[in-house]
Amino acid sequence: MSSNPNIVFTGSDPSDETSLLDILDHVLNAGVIIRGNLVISLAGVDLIYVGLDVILTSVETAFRQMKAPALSPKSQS
Amino acid sequence: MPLLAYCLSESHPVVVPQRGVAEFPVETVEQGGIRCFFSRINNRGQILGPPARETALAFYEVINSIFRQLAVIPFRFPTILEDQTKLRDYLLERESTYREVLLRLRNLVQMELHLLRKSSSLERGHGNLGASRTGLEYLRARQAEQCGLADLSVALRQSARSFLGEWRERPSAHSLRCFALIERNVIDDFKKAILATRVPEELSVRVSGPWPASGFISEL
Repeated sequence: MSSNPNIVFTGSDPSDETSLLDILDHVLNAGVIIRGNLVISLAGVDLIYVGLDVILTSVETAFRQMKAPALSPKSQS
Repeated sequence: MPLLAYCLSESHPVVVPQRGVAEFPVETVEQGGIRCFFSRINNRGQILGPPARETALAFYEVINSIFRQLAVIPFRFPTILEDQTKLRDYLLERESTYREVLLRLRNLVQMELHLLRKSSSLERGHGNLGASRTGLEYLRARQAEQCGLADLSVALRQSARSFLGEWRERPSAHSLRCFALIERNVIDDFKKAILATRVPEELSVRVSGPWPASGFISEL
């Protein structure tokens, strides 16, 4: 669609690397967060809050860190 | 059994994807005109272990398949509830708010425009704004960069004004993210309007969408 070289359109096709980043950004950073005791923990780590803190660098790294017992969850608001 | 929650929608007829994350069946529960899509998780390792990227994409695919049909409020990945009773309790508590949001966002989608400077003088570290620059020079350069992005945002907004329901912005260090709320049926017209905007040579715009209108939900 783009004929203006300074404007790029990215679709929602996960095979496109740029789109993939957009999709992961949305999945991990947009949307409703359920707060309080409805969120369960895994290995003593609150999934939602740890995810929000570390997810921007790498999804795989984030999940590895979620499992690491050394991480302490942030206090809930 | 724990549940992975995907998203909420109004209780209109919709084709529900059969399988979700880790091939778990996608189920629904309704409460007060609101429908929640979820999967029962019998093996949490399949959700939280590698390959995490594929898991997050499968989560997105479920939401996107429903979003293609009607407005949704997505949950952030991974939102896991203890069991279906807790999910019902949560929906019961919030159903009126969710109903209002979904009614307001019905037929609306979010387009995102990421305004970037191709090469920031603040990052290059040479020339007049290089390592020897003063703090005042740095601040002036930064202000100039931000003004350029803000001017472009105004121009884009002006180009697409016929289609805009709402427009929000979120600045970052060297870029500006703009969120446009538009009707689902004007996506192509919106893109054409954006494309017709003159963009200064030193700037670029990356447009993505349509997305669920998460950036326009302030009630939650």
